[in-house]
Amino acid sequence: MSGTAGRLDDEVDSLDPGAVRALYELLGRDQEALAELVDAFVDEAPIRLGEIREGAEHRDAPLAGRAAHTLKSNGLTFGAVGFASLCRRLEIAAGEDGLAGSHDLIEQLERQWPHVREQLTTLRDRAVT
Amino acid sequence: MTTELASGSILVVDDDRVNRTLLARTLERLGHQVLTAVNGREALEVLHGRQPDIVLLDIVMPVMDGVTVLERIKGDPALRAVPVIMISALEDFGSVIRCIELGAEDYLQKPFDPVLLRARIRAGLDKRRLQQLERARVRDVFARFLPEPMVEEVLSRADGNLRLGGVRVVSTVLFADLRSFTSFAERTPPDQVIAVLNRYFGEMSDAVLDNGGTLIAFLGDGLIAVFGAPIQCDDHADRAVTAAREMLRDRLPRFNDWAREHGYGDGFRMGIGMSSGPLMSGNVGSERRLEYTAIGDTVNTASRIESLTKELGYPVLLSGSTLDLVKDPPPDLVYVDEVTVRGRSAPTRVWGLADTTTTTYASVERAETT
Repeated sequence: MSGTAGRLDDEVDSLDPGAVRALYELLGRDQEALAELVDAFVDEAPIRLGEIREGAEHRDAPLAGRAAHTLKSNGLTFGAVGFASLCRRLEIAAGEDGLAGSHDLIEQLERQWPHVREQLTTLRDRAVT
Repeated sequence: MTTELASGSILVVDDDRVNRTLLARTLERLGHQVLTAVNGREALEVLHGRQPDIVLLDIVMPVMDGVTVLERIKGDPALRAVPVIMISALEDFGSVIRCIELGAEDYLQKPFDPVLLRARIRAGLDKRRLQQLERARVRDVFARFLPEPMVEEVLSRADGNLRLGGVRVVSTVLFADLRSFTSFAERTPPDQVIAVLNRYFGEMSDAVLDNGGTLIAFLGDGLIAVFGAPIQCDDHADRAVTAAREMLRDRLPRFNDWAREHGYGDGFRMGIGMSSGPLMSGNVGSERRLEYTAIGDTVNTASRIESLTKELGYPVLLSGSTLDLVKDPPPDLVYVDEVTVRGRSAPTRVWGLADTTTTTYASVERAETT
């Protein structure tokens, strides 16, 4: 299952324009606030990714589960649907079997992150219309 | 139709910086004042320092999760009225149900829907405003018979109907009676009688409340107070004796000066009786009229001891049960007699508060009865 899912998840994840627009509206079309939010995600995501890996390596499923939960939420907020989906699978795995056999998923997530980050940075740098 | 959203203070508790920032900026844009906490423990610290109108509480957090924080909030009388709205992900539904059962007001799902966010906040603020109005109204009622510092504590203990459940406590009951007032009332116009009574009760009520007592009732020209209920305290007997002394030595002379100035006779006298022991106290009555009351043998004994002040010649009498509980027996306390109080088979030792006016008082009382 992980092989098939892996090929799909390795596809470059695009931010859902509808989600980005909803977020922009929620913030009252405040560019500065949107930039602050992107910065928060870009700053925090590597820490959470590190916690997922650390949790998997040291059998600390609650740590990995919480980190996956947070990244999933952040991903959905910005419309990074594929990224969020991977996080969700990891969160469930952490709750069910303590991440045993989830190395592929973790690697897929780590490969996805630079693409998501790049799009977030683009979003930050351009005007949202 | 849009309803203007009243502003309030909102505590956002979320370990997720993105969510925390998103909620803070959104709520600030709507005109609210936003406080933030990054975990449950920090949230409780903030809550004990400053109480917001609403708490937005994430469920999944390190250090202390949202369910535990909610339990702490709902278990704390000082905090439990604050509406709590849980922040959840779609998969947290089981936890959401548990939180609603624990007393959470509502929940918000991530990613946030702006319309739902506004609606939940508005409903929470409306509830908070209603609570505050009701609390202010009840506070006014309680403040009339309870000392100010006790009002908040009593409010937090009262149930949804603002009734204080009956409790059995060891307390000191004080009866005070204004002497010769009936004959004064018979020869005085009603408006002046009421003016004199109000002046007298104003002075004596302050003596009770300033010493931490609770006013139970005004009966004609008599006053009943209890010390050590509804909130228990160790020094209720000392407080009652102090209040009695203050009534007799400071407040009665001041009241009499006022009465003389206004042509209301040469001065009134009073009798005060005290007894200590177990009693039951609580709010009784109907939805339309609620009164705090105290019931029990201790109340009856205090009443009968007060009635003995006239024949024994002491303006203040207290039973041995009160003296036993006084931590610092006052030097002006004198043993008076052993008496059989009506309704009790065992004799009761009675003590009096010696006063510079005692001799005069006693002689006047005896002269009046002969």
